[in-house]
Amino acid sequence: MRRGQQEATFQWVFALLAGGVFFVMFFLAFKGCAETSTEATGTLGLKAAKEKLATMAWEPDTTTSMTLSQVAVTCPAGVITLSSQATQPQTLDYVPVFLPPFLDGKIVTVSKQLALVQEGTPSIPLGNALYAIDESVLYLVTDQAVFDTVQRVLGSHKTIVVVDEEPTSVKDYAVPSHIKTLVIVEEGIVLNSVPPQTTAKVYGIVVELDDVGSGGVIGFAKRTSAGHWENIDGQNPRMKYFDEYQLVGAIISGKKPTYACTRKVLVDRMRILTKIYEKRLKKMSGDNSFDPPDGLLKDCKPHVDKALGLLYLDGNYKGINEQTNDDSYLAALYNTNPVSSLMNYQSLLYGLNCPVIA
Amino acid sequence: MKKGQFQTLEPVIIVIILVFIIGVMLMFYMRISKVEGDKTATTLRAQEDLTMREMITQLPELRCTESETSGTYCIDLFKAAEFKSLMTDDEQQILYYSLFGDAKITLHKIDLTDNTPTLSSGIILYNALTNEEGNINTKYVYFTAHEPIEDKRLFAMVKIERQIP
Repeated sequence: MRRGQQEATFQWVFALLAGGVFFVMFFLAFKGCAETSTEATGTLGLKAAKEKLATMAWEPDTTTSMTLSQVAVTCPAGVITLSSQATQPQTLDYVPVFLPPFLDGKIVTVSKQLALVQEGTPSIPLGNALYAIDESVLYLVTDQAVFDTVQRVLGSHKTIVVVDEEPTSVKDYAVPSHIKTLVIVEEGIVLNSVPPQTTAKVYGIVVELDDVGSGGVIGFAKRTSAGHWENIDGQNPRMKYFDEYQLVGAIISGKKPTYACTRKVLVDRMRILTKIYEKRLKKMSGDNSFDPPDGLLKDCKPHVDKALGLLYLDGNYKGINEQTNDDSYLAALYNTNPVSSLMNYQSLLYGLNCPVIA
Repeated sequence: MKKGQFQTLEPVIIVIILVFIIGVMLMFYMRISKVEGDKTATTLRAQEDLTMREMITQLPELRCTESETSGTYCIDLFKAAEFKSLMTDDEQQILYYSLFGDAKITLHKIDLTDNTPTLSSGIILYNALTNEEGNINTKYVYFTAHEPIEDKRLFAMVKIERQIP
């Protein structure tokens, strides 16, 4: 082969190699762009997070997780708002989601159907609620019964731990300063005596159980930079809860306004449901007529009427749906008096093979 | 063209051919990405349809009692009638907007015991369609409808119309 021919061959080989390298570089650059955008969607933006929460809150008994970066949860106008510096705030209108005051990183969400329950009787559904557990928050529970309740509702989570109720042992639980902590104590243990050894953002919750077992009161406090505890919401930091789902909701929320927001949404939905149950019972009762409607067993009618009376009006008794404020509504709904509770009539109707309340 | 001149232009021709090849490959790659994107959009829409169906089946506002629900999709006709009357109030309907969005949900029942079963005119359970003439995705879900007093079961169909942006 002559020298000129060799040069020409080398030129072609070189050009093909250079072209190949260029092509691979272009291809990788395009592929890299596509992968970056996929990674970006791995950490959810506020809008996507809002939509995901809104959907999940209506699906009972699901557990999933998502990742968010530095989101503040506030309740500026009676509805929960997610906000971060980077994006427009997103409002969670009418979605019953119990969220902690701050979200950062992996969030585990557990959706539950709320209901009045009695063994051997169909339950009375009262709506669904979603609980979001921020895995960057450490929940220190000093009471075994409260810890068991949290586990029953949410399942096991490595960031929710029970510690010895002795104040000294909580003190000994040295929390690294960068970890946000929520201390949950039962009434009787003075919160001031149990701050974990940390300078991190620490919130405290005092749980008071009701004597008759139909709920109780929960108090909210935060640790100041001086290391003392103070009420988050001034003079009245306490708020009621009526079942274990609301108790756990209050614990997750950590602060009174955040809990109050979600509880309001939840109660609004419960009111719709009990209103539907009332109208349904009214139809089953024969729309206020003395005789049962066609098809209803005669024995069912008195119990249907009494259940209707619990929801609406029975003489001077103001029924559950007639209660004007949320606390009195919930108190009437969760009334555990065996003679008058809604669940009692559900059980009676079911036992007599009558149509049930819900 | 002389052989010497051709040899001088060789690198230019090579670069042009390479640019052409790269361009064709990139176009091919982008087209595949677009097809994948369309597929993802279709899958997401199907998932949304499925989620909506699941929600309707699980909504305690409509669902039959536990004793009636044994593994079937079941809507309580009394609950459905009351839900419909509540949804005529905008303040109540807005509570369900985060769940159903821009959609219309209609329940039709069919009494199969009738000699000539016909589809009922339908109960509009929820209607937030802003433009009924626009791009609508329609799906049908089949249920058992339960009438609680006479303990009567009917065949029912739920029509879900969703606005596509």
